Amino acid sequence: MADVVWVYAEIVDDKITATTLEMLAKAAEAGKAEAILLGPAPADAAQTLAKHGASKIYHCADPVYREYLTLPAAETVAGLIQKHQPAVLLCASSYAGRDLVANLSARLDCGAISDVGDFQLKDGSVEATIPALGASYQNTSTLVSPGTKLLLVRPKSFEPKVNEQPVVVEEVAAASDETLRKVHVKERVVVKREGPQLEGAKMVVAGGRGLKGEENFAMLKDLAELLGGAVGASRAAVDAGWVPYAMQIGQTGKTVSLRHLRRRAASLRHENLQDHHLDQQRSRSADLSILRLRRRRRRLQSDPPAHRRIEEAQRRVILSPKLVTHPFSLLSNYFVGSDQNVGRNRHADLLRGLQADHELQLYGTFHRYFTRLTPL
Amino acid sequence: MNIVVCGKIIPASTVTIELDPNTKRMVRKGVTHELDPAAASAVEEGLRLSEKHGGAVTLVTMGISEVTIGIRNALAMGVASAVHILDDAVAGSDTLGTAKLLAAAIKKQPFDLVLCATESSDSYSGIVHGQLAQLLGIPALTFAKEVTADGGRISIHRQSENGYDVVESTLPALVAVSSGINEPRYPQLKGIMAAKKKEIKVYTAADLGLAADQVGEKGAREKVLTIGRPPKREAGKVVTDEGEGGKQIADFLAEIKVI
Ligand SMILES: Cc1cc2nc3c(=O)[nH]c(=O)nc-3n(C[C@H](O)[C@H](O)[C@H](O)COP(=O)(O)OP(=O)(O)OC[C@H]3O[C@@H](n4cnc5c(N)ncnc54)[C@H](O)[C@@H]3O)c2cc1C
Ligand SMILES: Cc1cc2nc3c(=O)[nH]c(=O)nc-3n(C[C@H](O)[C@H](O)[C@H](O)COP(=O)(O)OP(=O)(O)OC[C@H]3O[C@@H](n4cnc5c(N)ncnc54)[C@H](O)[C@@H]3O)c2cc1C
Repeated sequence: MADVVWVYAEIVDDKITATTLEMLAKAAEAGKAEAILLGPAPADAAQTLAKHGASKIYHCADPVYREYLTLPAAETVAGLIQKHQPAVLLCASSYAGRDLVANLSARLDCGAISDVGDFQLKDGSVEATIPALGASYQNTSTLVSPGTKLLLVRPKSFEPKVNEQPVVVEEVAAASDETLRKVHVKERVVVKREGPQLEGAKMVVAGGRGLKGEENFAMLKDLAELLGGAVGASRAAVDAGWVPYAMQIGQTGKTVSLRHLRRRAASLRHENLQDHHLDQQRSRSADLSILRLRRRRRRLQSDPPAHRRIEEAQRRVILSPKLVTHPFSLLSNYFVGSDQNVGRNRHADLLRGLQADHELQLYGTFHRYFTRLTPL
Repeated sequence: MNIVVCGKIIPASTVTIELDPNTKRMVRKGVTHELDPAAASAVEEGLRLSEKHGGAVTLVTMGISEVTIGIRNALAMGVASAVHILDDAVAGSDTLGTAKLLAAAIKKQPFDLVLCATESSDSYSGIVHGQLAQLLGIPALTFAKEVTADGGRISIHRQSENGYDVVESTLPALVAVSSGINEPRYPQLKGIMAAKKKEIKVYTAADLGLAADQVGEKGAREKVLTIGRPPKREAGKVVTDEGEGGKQIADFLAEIKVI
């Protein structure tokens, strides 16, 4: 059907994943959104999908989909595609999603587009936007084979939307063929991570190769704790074995987005202008600093803990950090250690200055470029 | 255990990859190539498994003549022989076309295990292995950060959102390894000398029984419509430390309301 867009719903940690809901928002915008939900799911799963735009759900709760990789799901989805011929099937660019789309594209001989950041659907044909070569290019692609188009969607490409639909749930038969039970998931090992997780974190403090070693990630943990955020890492740091994969940000790791940060900055500007009626002065930098001071003062009165957090962060934030714009990563601000060019003497100067200004105590120098400070 | 490693040979990391506005493909001709570091990990894993369980490792690759240097590298690491799919007719193959060609080349020899990398470092679609497994009629075990073989079985630690899954299958099977699974060995002089005598079989699409309209640009399901530069991203803020770097960052964070 020319305007039906299917979303393959994924469950991780007994929850519908965020990317599933993001894809539903886009599916509902592009056409008629429907979802496929296979394997054991939380009780409110169908409700959640409907709430986010799914008007129909193809459902089967059989555990075969959880216990065996790819093949049972591919068999069921291929059957559904052949029967209903949706215009598009969206799968998350996740572990399960990539395997499923790869299998289906070969099975149905239709190809697929990876790494899709956005797409348009017109008369049954798609035009997908793909950030390529580390996002240095932005290409558009289409699939020329007739029938359902398979797209692998990057997480965080769309905003999930509440868009309640009357929903029809259609039960489908489980893939029961013995030959599909080939790749057995024997055990799921959860690697314990300390502190808040990247998923859903409001703020991420990330480090990479510039940190030079595992031990220096402790600094980021301190900072993240103060800021109420989570620690992330570049692939270089993960590959070096300094931190677990679960902390990786980027194309093959977790996607983080600066969107809400920017929006916050924008709304902040807006708020300031409204609150202080400083429109006419806004272009002059001196006035801007007044603006900031005022806001601070106001905040001090209204929100003492927030103010204390700022002060605390000012004291304990890493000495001479550098915000590096990383061309590859989706996260453009990396907190790394001090600049490489800072020699020992300069470092000592900086330290003395900071100690005097902020009554800070030198806690310990565990790297030429990194020094941890704690308040006296 | 006979192992086939599918390894891509790509523009060297020192090369800035450009897209050709006419073909809308990467510029590969005349560019220095190297064995994809991700493929080197697959080669290394193959060599380790064969050292433990016996059997030969064969490299299968598809690419232009510039890729020979990377084939030699894999041979010098210890791979016994190589298969090179080289044919102007395969230029413009998309992922599925590539998988069809690789599958046909793999079928030409007996194999128990096919090793791939989770994704290539230049185009990183991350789906060729899944397509390949389906075309070969064998199961795919992907995102492996650890691989063990035992008799006719293969078991991996598969990366998951919150740790890893222990996943198992019988052979023959395909395993796609994650980057960082191992530290690929450097070829030694002895290996480099030995590599010169090792065989590189060259196949065209016709040799593999694939018609011209099934592969290359004609067979491609995916068509690139436009290539362009993305909209400019706001520049990141660089704090140059003049003794107050920490304070400035804290101020900046306060300003954008994250603290
Ligand atoms: C298919 C594919 C997928 C990938 N997926 C991901 C992914 O998901 N996530 C990811 O992160 N990467 C990914 N990468 C890798 C990515 O291309 C980069 O190689 C990686 O992100 C670099 O990590 P880095 O910034 O930590 O290291 P580097 O590039 O080495 O950067 C280190 C930075 O730290 C600075 N520095 C060093 N020492 C100091 C110091 N003392 N003080 C201040 N600054 C210092 C350096 O000047 C440099 O800017 C992928 C690559 C491929 C091919
Ligand atoms: C319309 C179109 C035209 C294209 N034309 C060309 C072209 O002319 N030349 C070209 O090189 N690319 C071309 N490409 C890119 C093409 O998609 C990829 O080169 C190829 O299909 C593999 O994709 P990938 O590297 O993203 O594989 P991934 O799915 O990321 O690869 C996964 C794994 O599969 C194996 N593998 C993948 N490719 C090879 C290979 N070539 N040899 C051995 N093992 C491999 C490796 O183990 C690899 O790690 C074109 C793409 C499109 C859409």
